[in-house]
Amino acid sequence: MIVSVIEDDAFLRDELLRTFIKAGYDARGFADAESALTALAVEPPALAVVDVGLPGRSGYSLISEIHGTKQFPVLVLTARDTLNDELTALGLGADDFLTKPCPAARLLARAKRLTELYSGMRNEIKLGKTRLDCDSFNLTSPSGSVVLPETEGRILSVLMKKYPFPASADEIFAEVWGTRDFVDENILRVNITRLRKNLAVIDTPVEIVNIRSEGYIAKPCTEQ
Amino acid sequence: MLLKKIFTRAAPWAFAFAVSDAAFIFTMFLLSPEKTPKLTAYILLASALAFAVGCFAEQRRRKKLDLALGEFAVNMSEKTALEVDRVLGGGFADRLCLAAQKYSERGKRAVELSGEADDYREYIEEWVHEVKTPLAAASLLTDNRADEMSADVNNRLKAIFHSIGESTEQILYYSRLNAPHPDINFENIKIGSCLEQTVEDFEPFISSRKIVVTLPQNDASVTADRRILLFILSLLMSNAVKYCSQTDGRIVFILHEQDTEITLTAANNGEGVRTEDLPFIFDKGFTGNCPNRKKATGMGLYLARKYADAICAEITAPDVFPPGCTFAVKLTFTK
Repeated sequence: MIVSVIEDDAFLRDELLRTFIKAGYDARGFADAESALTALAVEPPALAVVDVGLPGRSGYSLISEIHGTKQFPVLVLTARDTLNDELTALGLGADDFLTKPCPAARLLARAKRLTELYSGMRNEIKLGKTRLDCDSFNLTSPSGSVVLPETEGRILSVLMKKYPFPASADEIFAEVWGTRDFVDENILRVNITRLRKNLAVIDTPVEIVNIRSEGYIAKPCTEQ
Repeated sequence: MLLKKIFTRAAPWAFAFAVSDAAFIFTMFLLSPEKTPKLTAYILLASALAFAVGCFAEQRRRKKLDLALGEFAVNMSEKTALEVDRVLGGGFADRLCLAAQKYSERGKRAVELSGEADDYREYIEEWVHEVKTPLAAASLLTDNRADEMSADVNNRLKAIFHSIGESTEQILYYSRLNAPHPDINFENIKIGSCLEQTVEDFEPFISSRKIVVTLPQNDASVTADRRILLFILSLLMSNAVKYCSQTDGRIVFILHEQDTEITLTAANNGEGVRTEDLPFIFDKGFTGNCPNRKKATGMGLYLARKYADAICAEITAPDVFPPGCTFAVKLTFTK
């Protein structure tokens, strides 16, 4: 399980990483919000531990951004201990709030609680290195992430679930629109085109192939 | 009283009239003695009238002066000063304006000082926040790298860092005592969980000195601010750990719930406090008159009391202790 630690003080960051590694996590450290966001988008962790006092882009804006994608819990670890600080952090979307200094046992206990809570809640499908969150339709690949519109997201989730088999047009219609009646036949083709375009935007290593009289299939690409 | 005042004010004028009347009456007597009685009556009447008019005018002026002084007293400005001077008939403007100026200078200085105090408070907050990061790193380091040092070194380092942490918490809370906007949030809190957290924080000391800590079997909910309650508990715990017996330390927490109040007693089996010192232990900077008193700032219990007041709880040092203990502090919450 990946834990990302975003803390600008090198010594503290080191120790936090060590604490999580000793507890068996795959811990990654970042010194500022920008570098963290890029990595978090590519490979979302099971938990992000964030210090609000970051250089450049503030920790609060980082929390707010992560909360927007709703992919993983955020634990705020900060020296700021007033009620106001806590309410601000929680209000922006943080899931828990701890003040420094904090015993390792407490930090790990809270981390465990959050990761367990969230793993039960996450609704995600993977295909090779690509993942699709079925609640937010946020598509993540090693080269980036994009939020798909609902229809395209649902089509892709059908295709990804059916892999390595193709999904017939009937199946797709049933899953996405509920019925083929009263629905324009073209709508599937149009959405597939749009979906392909969106996949191309972030160079997703997934190809949607139309197999005649069988339907569509989502194939993971091995070369870029 | 009033009559006496009027008399003292009127006396000089009455005297002046009397003297001048006497002079005129005497002159008339010399000039025409037979007309004197009638003229005397006339003069006396005239001077009585003049005196009355004078009194009346004076009374009105006094009233105006009273009003002007009233304005001046409430707000000493150049405007109100000049008004008083006007009513007085002039000549005092310089003095009055000087008073107004000094007053305004004092006011400005007070605002300046208050601003300086706020700056100090802000800086202390920032400073404490800054120092918490290396402290957190140090404390995690002693945990993470326990195998790179001897157990003794590890325990000492933990104790040292904890002690630094306590001092920084104390100065932070001290500085917040007089803050203009106190940050207090009352909620229902289970004392049991707070006690557990406090004991967890002091775990290294408890285990290294093999102190036996007895927590209450029961639990109770109080209405308080969580951070402040934890701070008070940490102060009490710190004292208990510091002063309990070195060889077989014992700390006892007792929770008692009644109809109108909930009391938490924290007791230990150390040297105790001398009876003559007991009334003063919550005073600012009091460290006892006994030469054996361990080095302390005397601020711990002072802060505990101040913050207990802030959350509407009462903190006292009763003279009866749980069995086996020599000193106790009682925290009382009213329901």
